[in-house]
Formats: sequence, structure tokens, C-alpha cells
Amino acid sequence: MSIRRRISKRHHGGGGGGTSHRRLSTSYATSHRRLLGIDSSHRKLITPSISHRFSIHDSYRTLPQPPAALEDYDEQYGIDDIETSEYDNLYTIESCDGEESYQSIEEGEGEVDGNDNKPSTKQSTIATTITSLPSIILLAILSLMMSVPFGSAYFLDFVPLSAVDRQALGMRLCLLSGAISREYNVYIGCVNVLIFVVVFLQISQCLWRFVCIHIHLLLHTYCNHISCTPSHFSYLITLKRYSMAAWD
Amino acid sequence: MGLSTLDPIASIQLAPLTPFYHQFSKIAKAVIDRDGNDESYILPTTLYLMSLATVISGVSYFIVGKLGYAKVASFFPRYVMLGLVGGCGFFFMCLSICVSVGPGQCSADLSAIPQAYDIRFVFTILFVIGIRILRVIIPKTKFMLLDAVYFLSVPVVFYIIMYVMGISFEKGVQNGYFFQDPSSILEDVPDVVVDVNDDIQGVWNGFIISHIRYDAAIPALTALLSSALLSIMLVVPFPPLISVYFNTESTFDIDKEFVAHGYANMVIGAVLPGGLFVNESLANTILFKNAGAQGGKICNGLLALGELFLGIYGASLVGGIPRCMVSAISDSLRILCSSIMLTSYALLL
Repeated sequence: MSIRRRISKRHHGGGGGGTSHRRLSTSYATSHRRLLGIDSSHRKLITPSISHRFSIHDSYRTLPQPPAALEDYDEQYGIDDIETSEYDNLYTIESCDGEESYQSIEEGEGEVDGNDNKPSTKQSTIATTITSLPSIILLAILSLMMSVPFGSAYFLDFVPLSAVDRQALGMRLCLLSGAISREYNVYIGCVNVLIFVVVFLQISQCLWRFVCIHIHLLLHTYCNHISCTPSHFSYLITLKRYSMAAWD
Repeated sequence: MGLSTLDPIASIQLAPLTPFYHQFSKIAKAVIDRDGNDESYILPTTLYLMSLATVISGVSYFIVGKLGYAKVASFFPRYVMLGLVGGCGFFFMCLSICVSVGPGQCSADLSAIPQAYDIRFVFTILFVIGIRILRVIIPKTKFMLLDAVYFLSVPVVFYIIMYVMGISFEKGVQNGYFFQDPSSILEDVPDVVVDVNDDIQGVWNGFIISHIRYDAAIPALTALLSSALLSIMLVVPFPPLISVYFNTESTFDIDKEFVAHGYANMVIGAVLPGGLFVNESLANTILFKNAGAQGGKICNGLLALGELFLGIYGASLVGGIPRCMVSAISDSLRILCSSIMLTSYALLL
């Protein structure tokens, strides 16, 4: 079980304290590919902050021939006492108390982020947020400031707005675009829902106006060209009044 | 759903796309003039074309990222990338001068250099020297938030200086020390067809859906596709640079960043009339991180909330902010870019 010692030792080094220890089932060849960084999607496994602790159990299955790169890897790390026949076997690599399977690692669950500044507890999250507040205020103000020269440049003179309104519209487009672009890092959470609601309310108002004017036109056409009974007429006139009120 | 692996990240609008937005206005006007519509059609059609350009750019990013072609960025020589950082530093120096002296005097290019002797830029230099000296006296390890606190206190210091020198706010505005338009003090704003400066709802007062000329997209097709292509060309080098700054090169995947760009811009273009193309900003990210940002969902959410608040009320607040504050931040970015470039260059040697 020399291979167990070597690979375990290599992975024990950078374990981020307190993170989960996962069970990882994979093939020997796949683990080598990961360690070599051949597959870019597995590169995280070779970062110093990896927290998985592996051990190898020898459960054997047939595998295809290993790629040439594996032999280079063995030479580099001195895994030269393994018989060639062992390459043809599948090893189960698992952590001490983990639960996750190989598949979940491949999909990105439990991946260790390159940034080591992620808080691990609720208290540190609050502390981190408080620490970040001045920078948030600074960047928000900076965004506002930068939107002034940029915002005033987006619209040409013949757009029917005054210079002040052109600047105000450009600034708002800059800032709202920036706010929505927080989607880089935030899933659709409450803040973004708020943004969407504000924006959609505005658009829905425009849509409502659009619908109203068409209702109005339809009713106008209907009442002018088709004979209406008095009851129909009063009902349609009421609808028409509502639609006009909404339009105005 | 692909989201960025870079955190904390700051975004910015892509200034080189501005000529395309001008082109969209011209195309909208040409279409409207041709068919005899009134000028109230110009703004909705322009905003529609701007949104469409953002959506097309977003879709392009999404496709390129999904297909895995964004890795072509890895073929950019590192020296070229450092040159881009240096170019950004130069741009920020010009922008700093340009913002200091006010609109109409110069633009953020070489034409700004002769304006560096303007007395208004001298205030900027003094504030930049101040933060450099403080940074030497107070190491970052002792007070991480020095940059943020310093720049946020610049307006206070500026108002105190004005008070001590006996200069009124109106006089400061007339001399061009503030963002408020000097003509707004002297004369009333002329009447216009639509007024957008009332409130957040006013942003879309000029955006009447029934006044959109959808067929303007056909003559604008070349400009739309060109803007998407240019946005990809201009943005490709920067996410890897940000990952270098974060020291996360080993986990960085530019395809994922492209998908994140695509997703964000598709959302922006789809929900915001006139939504502007947004990309990850190296300089703003450096400033954000340097000022103590730790990242995370709460941090990004609060930033989104702050930008939303300023998007609603910012236009009315900006008039009272001295220009030297923005130009000092801009010039500090120039120094940061220069230091990154020189440090990285020294490491490469």
C-alpha cells in the first residue's frame, strides 16, 4: 500500500481546517489526470488549499491502458514500484469521513475556491461584511462619479433631451446596468429581485399604456361601426373611460 | 448557470462602445426622418438599439464561452497584457485631467495633457500626494481601509478648504470645481420634448414602446455585430489579469468568465431599456479589493443595492461632489496600474 501513503501525504498538506472531508470514488487513471491537471475542470484538486484527504482501497476493475503522461507523472513523483498490471485496475479513493462521490466533485460541488477569503462561519461573514462596507460605499460612489463623464457622452445632441436630462439618463443607465451586472457573483437573490421588480414595473407600465391605447382604439372602432345596445354601450364606454384614464 | 469565479469583482461600462451608441442614434434618426415620424421616436428607438446591442453581445459571449473558444486569451503574450495595464494607467491619467477641468475642455486622450497645468488639476495632485504620504506613514497591515476612508473624506476636506478661503458653493460651481453644470445657476434649463430628470420612473418617460421603430435594427445590423465583436476583443485580456491580481490563476477558467459576461449582459439588455454592455473592470476591481472588499454574496448584494440607490437618486446628488474627488481616485488608479505593471515586469525579467 505504498501508493496509499504517497497520495495521501500529497493531499494532506493543504487541508483547509474545518472544511468537509469527502469520499471520493474515482479511477486511478482519472485521479492521475487530475493531479497532472490534464483536464482543466479538475485543476482545483491540485491547488494548495485542497481539503480532501484520500486513502486508497484496492478494489480492482479493468481499465484501458494509461496515457503516456501517467508514466511521466510516476517518474516525477517516484511511483515506480507499482507493477504495470496495477494500472489496469480501478482504485477507490475515499476520504476518512466523506460522503460526496466523484460525480459531485466534477460538477463543482465542494470545490475549493481559489480565494481563501471566504468566511466559514456566520460571525466571520458579518465581520467580513462590516470590513467590506467602506469599500462598497467607495465603489458605489466611484461608479456614480464615473457615470458622470460616461453618461453624458452616450446620447447625441439631436436626441430630444436637455443636456441635464441626457446626463441624468446616461448616468442612470450606467448605474442600473452596473447594479444588474452583480449577476456576475450573486444568484438571483433579493437585491436582484428588487431590481427586476423596479425595472419590470416600469416596463409593465409602458406595456399597460400600450394595451390601453389599443383597447381604446378597438372600442372606438367597435362603437362606431357596429350597432350597440344601450347596455353594451354603457359597458363599453365605462371600459373606454378606464382605459383612457390609465393612458392619461 | 455560469457565474464568475473572480470575487470580489467590479464592473464598468465599456467606454469604446460609445461611438456605436452614437451610431445607433444616427440610424434611428435616419429611419424616423425617412418615414416622417416625429422626434419623440428617436429616444425609444435609440434605447431599443442599445439594449439589442447588449443582448447580442451577451449572446455572443455566452456562445463563445460555452463552446470553449475563450481560451484563445491564453495566447496573449504576458507582455502585451502588461502593456494593456500600462495603457489603462495612461488612460486614467488623462481621464483624471479631463474630469478635473470639466466638460468641453478636453477628452480622455492626449489632448488632456496640456490641461495638466490647470489650477483645478493641482487640487487633484495635492489629494493624490496626500494619500501616497499617508500610505507610507500608515502601512496597509495597520489600517486596511485607509484608501476608502481617505477618498470618502475628500469632499469634506474640500468644503472645509472652501469655507476657510471664503468661497461660496455657487462661486465654486461657476469656477468648475463641482459636477453641477455652471449654466444651471445662471439660467433656466430650456424646455424639451421629454423630461427624464424627475425620478426613477422618469428614466422611462421617454421610452414609449409604441414609438419604437423595430425595423431600425436592419440598417443597424452591421453596427450591432461590430459592437459585439469589439466588446469581445477588448474584454478578452482583462479577466486573466484580474486572476493574476487575485493570485487565482490555477483555478481560473476564462470560458466560465465569458459565460458569466454573457449571462449578465443578456439580463441587462433584456430588462433595462437602453441597458449598457458591462464587463469586468481591472482598475475598479483593484480599487475595490485594495479598499478592503472581501467578496461574497452579501458584499456583492450590498454593492448592487448601493448602485441601485445611486441609480435612482444619484443624479440629484452628484452636483454637490467636487471634481477633484473623482479625479484623485482616477489618478490613484493610474498609480496602481503603473505599480502592477512594473512589479509584474520585474517578476518576468
